[in-house]
Amino acid sequence: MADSGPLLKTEGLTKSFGGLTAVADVDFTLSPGEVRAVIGPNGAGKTTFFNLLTGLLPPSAGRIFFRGEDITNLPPYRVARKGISRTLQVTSLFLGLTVFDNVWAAAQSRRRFFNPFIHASRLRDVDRKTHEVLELIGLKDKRDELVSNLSHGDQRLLEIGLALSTSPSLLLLDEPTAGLGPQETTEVARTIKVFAKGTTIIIVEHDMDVVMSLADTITVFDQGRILLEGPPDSIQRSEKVREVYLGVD
Amino acid sequence: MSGLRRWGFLLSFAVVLSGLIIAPHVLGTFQRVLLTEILIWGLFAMAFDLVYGYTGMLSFGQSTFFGFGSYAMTLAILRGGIGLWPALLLGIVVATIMAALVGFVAVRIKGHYFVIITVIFSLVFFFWALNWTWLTGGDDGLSLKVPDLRLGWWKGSLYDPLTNYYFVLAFSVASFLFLRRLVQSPLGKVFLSIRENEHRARLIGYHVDRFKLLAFVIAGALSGLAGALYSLTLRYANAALMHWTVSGDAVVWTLVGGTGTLVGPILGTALLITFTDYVSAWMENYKIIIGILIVVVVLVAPQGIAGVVRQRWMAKGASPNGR
Repeated sequence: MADSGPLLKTEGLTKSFGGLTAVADVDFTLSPGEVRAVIGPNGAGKTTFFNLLTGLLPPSAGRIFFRGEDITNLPPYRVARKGISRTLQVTSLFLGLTVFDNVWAAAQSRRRFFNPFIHASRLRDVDRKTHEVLELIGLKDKRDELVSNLSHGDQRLLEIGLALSTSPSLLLLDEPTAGLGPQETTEVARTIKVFAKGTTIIIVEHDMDVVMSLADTITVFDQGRILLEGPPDSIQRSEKVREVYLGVD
Repeated sequence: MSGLRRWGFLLSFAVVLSGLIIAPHVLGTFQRVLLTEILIWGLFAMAFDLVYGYTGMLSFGQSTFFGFGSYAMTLAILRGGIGLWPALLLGIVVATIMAALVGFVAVRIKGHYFVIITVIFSLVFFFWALNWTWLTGGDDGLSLKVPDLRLGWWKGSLYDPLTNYYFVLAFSVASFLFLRRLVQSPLGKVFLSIRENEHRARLIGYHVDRFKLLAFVIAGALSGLAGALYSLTLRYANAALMHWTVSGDAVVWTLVGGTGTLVGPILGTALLITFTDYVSAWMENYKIIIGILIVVVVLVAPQGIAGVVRQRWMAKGASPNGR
C-alpha cells in the first residue's frame, strides 16, 4: 500500500438507470484511517454509491481505485477479497445457521484453500477471529442461537460482525441502525465506536447523533452528486444542507 | 458437549454398522437384495443431499450421472474387456466429467430456472441413451458379465450374494464417512453459507459459482459410483436409469428423511423403498400412498424424519454444531 496515497478514490463515478442518474460524476477520496459519513436525503444515491464500490453494480462511467489499484468492474467477491467489506441496509445473514457459524463463515472467507478433510474447528485462527468478533459485537452468549431467532437489534449487530470478521481494510456500513429503537441505536453506535479507532470506515446513516459522534468528515449527497464535504460542525451549520433535508428552495 | 456428541455419533455408527454387517446372515434372500438396493440408492440420495440439503441447489439432474457411471462401467467391461476396478474407476471418472460439464452451465442459472435446466439436461441424456441403441441398448439395456473381484491376493466374485453385499456396503459406508467429514469441514461451511444466503456469501468474498460447481461435481462423482454399483449388483444397465424421475426419487427420499442431514436420505430411502416393495405387491396404485405421505411430511414435518430428531436433540440444549 502506498503510505501517502488515498485508500479509496473514485473519478467521475456515474450510474444511470435508464433516464435516471442515481450517481453523477462523483469524485470521492478517502484517506486510510478515516471515518467518513455519507449523508443525504432518501434517493440521493448513497446506497447505489456503495453498490458501485462493492461491484454489485457496474458503473456507467468513471473509475474506482482502491490502494491505487483500479477495481472498477471487479465482481463482488473479488472486491471483497481486496479488503472492502460491507453491511447491508436490509439485514442479510445466514438465517438457518448459528451466530457462531455466521461469523465463522465470514472469518474463514479470506483463505485460499478450503480443506474438505478436516473438521472446521481445527482452524484455530478462524476460531480465534470468530470469538474476537463475537466479543466485540456482544453476542458471545448467544453464539449457539439460530440467527433466525435473534432480535432485530442483535441481527443488526451480527450484520456488522460478518463484515468485520473478514478483517477489512475498508468497511462500508449501510445504515447500521436502520429500524432500531433509541436504546439499540446507542448500542450499535457504541460498538462501531470501539472498532472505528483501527478501521477505515464509510458509514451511510440517517441518525444525526450517530453521524456526529463518529465521523471525522461528512460528505453530503444530493441527487447523485456530492453537494458538500467537510468536518461535522461545518456541515451542521450549513444552510445548503438544511435546504436539502427540509426541501426549502 | 462436543465430546458427548462425538461419542454419541461413534456409538450409533458402531451399532448401525454392526447391524449392517450381521444383517445378511440373518435376513432372507429377498430382504438381503432389498437392503443391498437400499445401500446403493441411499448413497445416491446422500449425494443429492450434498447438492440440495447442504448447498441449496434443487437438482433433478443426478440421474444423468448415475446413468453415466452405470453405462461407462458396463461398457468398459463389455466392450473394453477391462477388469472390475479400472471399470469402476472409469464409471466414476466419466460421471465426474459429465457433472463438470453440466454443472458448468447449470450453476450459473438461478432459482427455479436451475431446477428446469437440470430436468432438461436429464431429458436430453435420457433420450440420447434411448436412441443410441447400438451403444446403450436403449430401453432394453445391456446385460453384463461381472469380472472377478480381486483384492491383492484375494479373489472373489460379485456373483456371490454376500461378497456383493459387503462390496456395496463398503462403498456406501466410506461415502457416508467422507460426506460427513466434508459437511463439517471448512469447505462444507462454505457450502452451507451458500445454501443459506448466496448473495451474502458472495459479499464476504466467496466465488459462489465455483463452490456450487464443486459441490455439484463431488455429488456427480458419488452418483456415478452409485450407478456403477447398481450395474454391478443387478448386472444390468438401461436408459431408464437416466430419466429425471430417478432423480425425483432421490428428492423424495431426501425430503422425507430430512434434508441437510446425510442420515436422513438413507432413512428416507430405506423407508420408501421397503414400503414400495411391500405395498406394490398388493396395490397397483401404490404411488398414490407415497404421494400422500410426501404431502403429510411437507406439511407436518418439513424438516423430515432426521430433521425432527435433530430438533428434539437441540431442544435439550445441545449445541447444534457440536462445538
